[in-house]
Formats: sequence, structure tokens, C-alpha cells
Amino acid sequence: MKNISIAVSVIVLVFGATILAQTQTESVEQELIKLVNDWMDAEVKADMAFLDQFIAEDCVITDPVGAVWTKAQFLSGLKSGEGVVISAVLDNMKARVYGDAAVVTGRMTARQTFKGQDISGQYQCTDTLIKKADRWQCVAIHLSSIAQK
Amino acid sequence: MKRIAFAVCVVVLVFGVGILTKAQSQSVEQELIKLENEWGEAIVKRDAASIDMLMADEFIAIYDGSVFTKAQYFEFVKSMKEEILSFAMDEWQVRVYGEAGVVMARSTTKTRLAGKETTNQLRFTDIWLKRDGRWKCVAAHNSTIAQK
Repeated sequence: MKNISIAVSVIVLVFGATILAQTQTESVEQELIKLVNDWMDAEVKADMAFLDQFIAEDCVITDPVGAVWTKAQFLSGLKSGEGVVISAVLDNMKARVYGDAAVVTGRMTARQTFKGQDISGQYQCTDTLIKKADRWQCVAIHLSSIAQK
Repeated sequence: MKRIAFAVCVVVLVFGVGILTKAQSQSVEQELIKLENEWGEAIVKRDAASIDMLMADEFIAIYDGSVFTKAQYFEFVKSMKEEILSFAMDEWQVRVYGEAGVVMARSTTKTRLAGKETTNQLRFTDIWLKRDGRWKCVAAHNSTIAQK
């Protein structure tokens, strides 16, 4: 009877720990998807304080035509009004968490202009996030245009 | 005198640790570039086993807006009809964050199909994770560089 009790306890413990770990991972995934949505809102509002905090200093941004931007270049474009994001909606979001690193992929539908020219479109995005000092920051952003059928 | 010696020791220790950390980080950066080169060579040779060793099971690839699982990526590589004449990578930017690494670079591929030669340039971002002592790529995003 004692052996059965121990076996049941071990099973409960292992399952419990697994469920807890899974719940924690899912919770981080949700946190990251929310954070990336907040980032889109910040771009629409040109909330430079949020963007400055969220985008890491060494972040590399690769745009849909293969051009590479630094954080400073990217933020200065938004700050100066050269780049304007009217709306940015995300869907098909998936976050993969690996400890203090995470990869968030998804689709962005954006209405935006650059130097007055309409560059609206749909993009596939891959964002790499790293947790530094208890805060998630984006260290790499890569966008590709989705061909319209 | 004792204080000066202690201060010198602290400075040497701090600088030593700083130099060691930087050297280790640079060594990982070189290791990741080496793995990227192995991946490129494996694609040229259509060497599925070598590619498989470099990828995590949950590997995801994005190629100009299309999303591929690991299995779909293998199908894509196998179905390539073009003969690869040359493959080179440059403009490397590598970031290492503990057991995670991000590699960004440009690739230039010359191919031939039905006698016609084509040059294609891609900009890629690959995310690597170290698991059980081995680096595995978990995500790769590729965009064709617009020709001016």
C-alpha cells in the first residue's frame, strides 16, 4: 500500500511539474505576443519612449527589400515623420520561448507611408527577443513582403 | 603598498575577465559563422543529413513571406532543380546572448537552369540555440534583396 502511495505521489509530482512548466511557458508566450502587439500600437502612436525601451541598442532590422537598419536609423525615420504607421494589425502569431531568448513570428498587415509614399502591405515577421534585467527587448527584426494573390 | 598591490590585482582580474568574456564571445561568433558555412555547403551538395544535424526539430523557415516547417524546407531543398554554380556569404553580423545566437548576413547564389545563369542575393536572419552542447538553428528568415 505504501509503495502504491509513493508511486502515485511521484506521478502527481511529475505531472504537476510538467503542467506548471507548460503553463509558465504559455504565459510567457502570451506576454510576448501582447508585447509585440503593444509595440505595433507604439509605432502607430510614434511612442518613442516605448520603442526606445523595447528595441535593444544593438538591434538589427532587415526590411522587406533586404536593406538593413540600425535602431538609431529606424527610430529617426519614425521621429522625423519620414515613416508613418497608420495602422498595424498582427495575426498568425506564434511565440517560441527558450529560457531568456524567444522567437516571435507572425503576419503584419500595415497601412503606412515612407517619405509620403504609400508602402502599405502584408508582411511576414520574425522578431528575436532577449530577456535582459527582467525585461524583454527586441534584438533582431526581419520582415518579408507577402505576395498578394 | 599592500593596498596598491590589492588594487592592481582587482584591476588585472576585472580586465582579465573582460578580455576572456570577449574572447569567448568572439569564439562563439566564429563557431556560428562556421556552422552557417557548413549549412551553405550542405545545400550546394544537397546533403540532407548534414542540414538535419544543424536544425532543431521545430525549425521554421521564412522565405520571402512563405513559411516552411523543417520537413517542407527539406522538400524545398530537394526539389531545387537549379545547378548551384557558387554560393558565398558576407556582411556578417553575429550576436551571442548566452545559449542563444543571432546571425545576420547576405548570401549570393549563382545558379544555372536550362542553360540560363541567375544570381540571387538574400539577406538572412538565423536564430541559433545551444542544446546539449550543440548549436541548432530554430528559425531562419530570408528576404530577396531588391536589385537596383
